[in-house]
Amino acid sequence: MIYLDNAATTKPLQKLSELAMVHIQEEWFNPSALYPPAVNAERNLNAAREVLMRPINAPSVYFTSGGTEGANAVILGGWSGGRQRHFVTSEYEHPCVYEAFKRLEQLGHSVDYVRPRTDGVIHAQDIPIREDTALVSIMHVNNETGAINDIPSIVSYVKQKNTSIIVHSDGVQGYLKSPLTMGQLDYYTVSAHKLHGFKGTGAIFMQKKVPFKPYIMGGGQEMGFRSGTENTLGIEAFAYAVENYSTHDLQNITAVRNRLEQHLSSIDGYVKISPSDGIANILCLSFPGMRGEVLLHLLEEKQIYISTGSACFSKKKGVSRIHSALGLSPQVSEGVIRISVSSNNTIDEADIVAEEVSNALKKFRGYFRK
Amino acid sequence: MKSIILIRYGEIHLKGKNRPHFEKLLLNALKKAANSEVLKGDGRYYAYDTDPEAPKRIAKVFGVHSLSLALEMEKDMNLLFEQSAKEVRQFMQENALSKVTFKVETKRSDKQYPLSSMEFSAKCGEYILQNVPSASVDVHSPMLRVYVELRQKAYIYSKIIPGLGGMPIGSSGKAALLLSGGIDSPVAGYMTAKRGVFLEAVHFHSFPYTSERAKEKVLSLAKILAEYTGHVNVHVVHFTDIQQAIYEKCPPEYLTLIMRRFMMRIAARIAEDTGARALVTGESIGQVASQTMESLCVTDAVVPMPVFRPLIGMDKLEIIERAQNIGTYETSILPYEDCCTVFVPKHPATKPRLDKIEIAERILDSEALINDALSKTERIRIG
Repeated sequence: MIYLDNAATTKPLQKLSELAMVHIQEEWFNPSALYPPAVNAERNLNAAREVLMRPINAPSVYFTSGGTEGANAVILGGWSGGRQRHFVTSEYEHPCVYEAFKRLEQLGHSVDYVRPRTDGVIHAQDIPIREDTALVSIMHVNNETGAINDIPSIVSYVKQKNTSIIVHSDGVQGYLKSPLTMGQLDYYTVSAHKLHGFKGTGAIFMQKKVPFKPYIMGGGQEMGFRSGTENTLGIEAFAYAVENYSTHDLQNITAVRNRLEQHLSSIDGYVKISPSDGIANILCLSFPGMRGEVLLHLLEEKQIYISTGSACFSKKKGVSRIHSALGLSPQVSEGVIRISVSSNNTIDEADIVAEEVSNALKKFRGYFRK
Repeated sequence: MKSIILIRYGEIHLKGKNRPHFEKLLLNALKKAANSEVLKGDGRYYAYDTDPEAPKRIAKVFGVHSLSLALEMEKDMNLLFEQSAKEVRQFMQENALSKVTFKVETKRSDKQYPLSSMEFSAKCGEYILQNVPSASVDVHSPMLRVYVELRQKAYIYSKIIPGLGGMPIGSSGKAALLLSGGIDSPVAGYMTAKRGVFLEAVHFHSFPYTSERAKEKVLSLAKILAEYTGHVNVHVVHFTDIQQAIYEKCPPEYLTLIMRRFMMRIAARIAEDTGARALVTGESIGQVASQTMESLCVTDAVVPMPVFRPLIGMDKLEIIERAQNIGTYETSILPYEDCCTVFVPKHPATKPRLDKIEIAERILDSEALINDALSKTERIRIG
């Protein structure tokens, strides 16, 4: 099997099975309890916080069930009151952000959706700021194209206009893969399973003083920001994955991706959708005349797994909102595939995949609706 | 005293010398659905030691007119009276009623029994009135009817659950159903199976234009049908090569029709191989271009057996309503088929002429294409 859908999820690290075993046998205590093993669990939890905050120099962190919960919590409850406020996000956000803004619109707020420019990124100057703007949310790295948005300049642009506007960035695809320092960014939300951790674990990085109203009520865990007994195993696994994510991984990813790109770009009619300065692990491309899904199924026969876009979209019909935001023509849009690499992939795999893509195209390309 | 399920059958009553054959088929279907012992009585069946889900499963067996959860007991009059009173109390409790009107209805096939059915009803009613103070009799529209049957043993029940009617599966032979992943064909299959027809489902799979999930979806639909029919065989035909050949060589406006003709030919071959005598499709007149009367004539022209179209006169909304009742709708609307639209022409012919289509088709080596597709057909038993 050659797995190249690492933007959807990644294979958990082998080492996590040992961690899980220790957890099941010894470290399963509730960190809120008062006896020594529980205190130990709390200590581990706090150590994990430190590990997660370090790479982006974050002031604080709270754990969630994943990227979706983090984004929802911030967008729906991470700004201070007011009935009819103004919000800004981008047209090509992940649904966990986009749909939360749709909810704000239903509640009577107004939302502006910024489109990326032809270079595939959101430009700070395009962000409309109003007197009543409450929150701006722009994703760090686009999950379909790998375009990296310049979050620090977006933050400074917004804060220059009005320091009280809250800025959030969905960091699910960017965390660790694209260097970022929190700086004045108010919230940064991430997920563990994109980094070889477990599903069901995520985190919200935040400034010390933010107007955060939690929407999960209960026992007041995570300083009241997120009630519910902490997913201690998931959190420790997340910390382990972060600690072990090295620059070596990034080098390997870049090498495999470059090899793939080198092969594929020599095929006739290759259209690259990922920007040239995009994130290393995502290569988004299209072969017009070959439906992305058909190519995907042909590759699946060879146990090669890729995506036609975000997994969260792949079951929905109609033209992709992301593709229309990127201004793709229908022919290019139909052919879109996303190859996303992890450090588990090898150069040999890149060669095999390129070969199989080429074979598939020879046999099945050129069937348009007549 | 035993809790049993009392099962009545409908149309089989009307059969003459074949009746034992129909009864045997129904008994087999009931045994499978009940997953327990089922015995035949006079004009009815009794299922013993069933699990709590058994009534739901039995209610889906074609040929069942109705069923009741009943108590089987000895014909001891006092016990029967007391049990009838219990039924009344239980009904009040279940529905949180402080008052109730009831009627006792007695059937007596044991003519040796000392009381006539009218007398038994009267006495039993009297006992209930004395023992359940808040109950009163209403013979015209009672809130509760307590049924007592006096046969070799006695049976008491108060609810009659309607069955689906129809004929036991297998009593009317076999047909091959063209089963897509859509809304219509499962309904057509259901309606045909209800008349006692065993289904051989034929599905055309266009990998890589349709996915593994599209196939899973069809198998899920077959599984829902199998809840009614006992089991269904699904023949998954590899259809991609044929579609590509038609696409490459035939005029675009005829793509769908020629494709339909190939589907019919293949389904007919599978029918012949499996002993099925007819084809079943989910078409209704005018729903899409390939379902105009002219188009149906063109597709029928290649089939050497009858083609049943039980939905022929139904509107889409009526079909959807049926699909919802049968339980296939939710599965049918899952969106796993987007990929196949390359082979749907932008401007399909709606009034095709058979002679022109036959000429257009001549360029293809039909026999070789069909044989190849059949050799790559996978047969999956569901249920």
